[in-house]
Amino acid sequence: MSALIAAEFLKLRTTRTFWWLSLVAVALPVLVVVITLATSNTVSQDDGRSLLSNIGIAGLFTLILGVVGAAGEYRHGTITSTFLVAPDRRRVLVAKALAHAIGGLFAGLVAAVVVLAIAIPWLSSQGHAVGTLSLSTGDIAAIAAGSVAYAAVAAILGVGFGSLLTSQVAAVVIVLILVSVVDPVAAGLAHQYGKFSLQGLGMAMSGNSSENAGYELFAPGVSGLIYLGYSIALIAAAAVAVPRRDIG
Amino acid sequence: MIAVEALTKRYGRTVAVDGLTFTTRPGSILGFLGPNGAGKTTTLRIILGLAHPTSGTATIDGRPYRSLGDPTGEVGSVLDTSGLHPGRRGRDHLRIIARAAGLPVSRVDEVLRLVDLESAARVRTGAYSLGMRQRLNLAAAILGDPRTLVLDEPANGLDPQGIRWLRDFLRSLAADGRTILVSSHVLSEVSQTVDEVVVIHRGRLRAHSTLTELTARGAGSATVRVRSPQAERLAELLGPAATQVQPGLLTVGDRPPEQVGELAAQNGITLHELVAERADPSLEEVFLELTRDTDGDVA
Ligand SMILES: Nc1ncnc2c1ncn2[C@@H]1O[C@H](COP(=O)(O)OP(=O)(O)O)[C@@H](O)[C@H]1O
Ligand SMILES: [Mg+2]
Repeated sequence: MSALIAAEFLKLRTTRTFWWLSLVAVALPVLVVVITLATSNTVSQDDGRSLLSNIGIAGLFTLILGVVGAAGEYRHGTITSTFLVAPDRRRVLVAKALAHAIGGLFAGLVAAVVVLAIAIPWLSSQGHAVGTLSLSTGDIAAIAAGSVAYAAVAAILGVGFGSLLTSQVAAVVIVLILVSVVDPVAAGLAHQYGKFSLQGLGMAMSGNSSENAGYELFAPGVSGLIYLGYSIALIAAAAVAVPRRDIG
Repeated sequence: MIAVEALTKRYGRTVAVDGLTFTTRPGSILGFLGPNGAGKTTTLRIILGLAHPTSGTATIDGRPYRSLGDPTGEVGSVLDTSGLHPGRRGRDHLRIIARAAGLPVSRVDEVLRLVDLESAARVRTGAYSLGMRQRLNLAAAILGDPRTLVLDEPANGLDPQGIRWLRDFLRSLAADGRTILVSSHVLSEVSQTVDEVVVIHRGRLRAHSTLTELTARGAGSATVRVRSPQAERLAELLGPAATQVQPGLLTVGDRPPEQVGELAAQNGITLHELVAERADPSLEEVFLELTRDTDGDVA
């Protein structure tokens, strides 16, 4: 199994797609944080949370990373050599999910480090050292850790979508419509659904308060478990569908 | 040894493979022939566990591909769907397979040398020519030093030098005692490489024999040329076997010249010429004959 995970991770590292998506996964949260710091005053604890939780933006791109990584194998036909080396398709699926989780974790971690390295000194220079925002080091660590975990589980969810849908373009479009239209609209219309929505779970994991979300959220840990549950459910569905499939 | 038994694969109403049975002989090269759409790729995909048969079985040394312990070390394969990520370097493609199969990176460089691809090893495969792609896929196939090779149209898109290179390459692989199953829709591409052929058409077995037997089979249908002033009368006696080519000249199929001569003598017909045509058909003609639609269906 470890050989398969290593092979899947090598697959990730040897395409430019991974590096580009990782770069965007880091650059976009950094950009949003810099713009926020430059244009508005971060004065309350909620402001501080909302600012740092932008690390979670990385999760959108690691989700796409998972979709592209899984469906890309069908697009380019490399799935043939993948299943020739490892005919047990379920093992491949699990290895792929784990490798992308590691990739997502890596991108999330870099995003967290860069955002904190910029935000904390900047806030201090504005006279709002994080301590004065009543954010403890523990709070900050929890926001960062939650965002990084979110980036990892989102990548697994992406692998599930990509493996089920196989058409790379269709999968990317469907997932983008789901996370940017269907899911937030549903959460906005039915507030009791909000905390179960991908958006609500992602916001909670990356440290947002219910006030930020506009609806009630679960605690970050609970949200992480629910999101992981979604990811595992999708991988399980793929584990049923993929072995039945004819390749090529 | 690859054994295909009563293999059938349906796609909706299309019967891609229809009750196909054959086995490879250890240590020999078996050509798997048939026109486009005959069912070659489908058969090979089923052998390799990539597609599921509707019925029947395909095994390698008695086991289905999916239950092989070390597939890369037992069977190497190239399929026409074997794709490459255009943004990935050729060597990295092989490193991934080696990593999954537990093979050392040194083996990657070894096979790159064997297929003459060292100079392009660090080039992204999007820039590869068709011939280079085929060679990279062949390199992947031999990575685990397997005893059995399954190659789907490896000569496709190769130029004459490429085909010659491939022929020598396959010969050298077989010389080490490997069993090779190689498909083609063009007999001439593989006729100098293979020991035996399996010919299929519309998913059904048409022939399984050595090349020599195949040519001999075709020779049975040689024709007889007859010149006679009573050609029309002789044609009547011979029935549909005879064709009047021009006044006084017949060609007769499916009859030995002795039979034609005796029939003429019994009926008092004068013959001016009786020649068994040296019409040994070429291998290609035999192949075309075997894969012609004989059941009257529209192809
Ligand atoms: N995935 C598929 N879905 C539907 N029909 C298919 C599929 N694969 C092959 N076929 C059909 O099965 C037949 C055999 O195809 P194939 O095995 O590719 O032939 P060959 O490799 O000999 O050219 C063809 O009629 C082809 O159209
Ligand atoms: Mg084919």
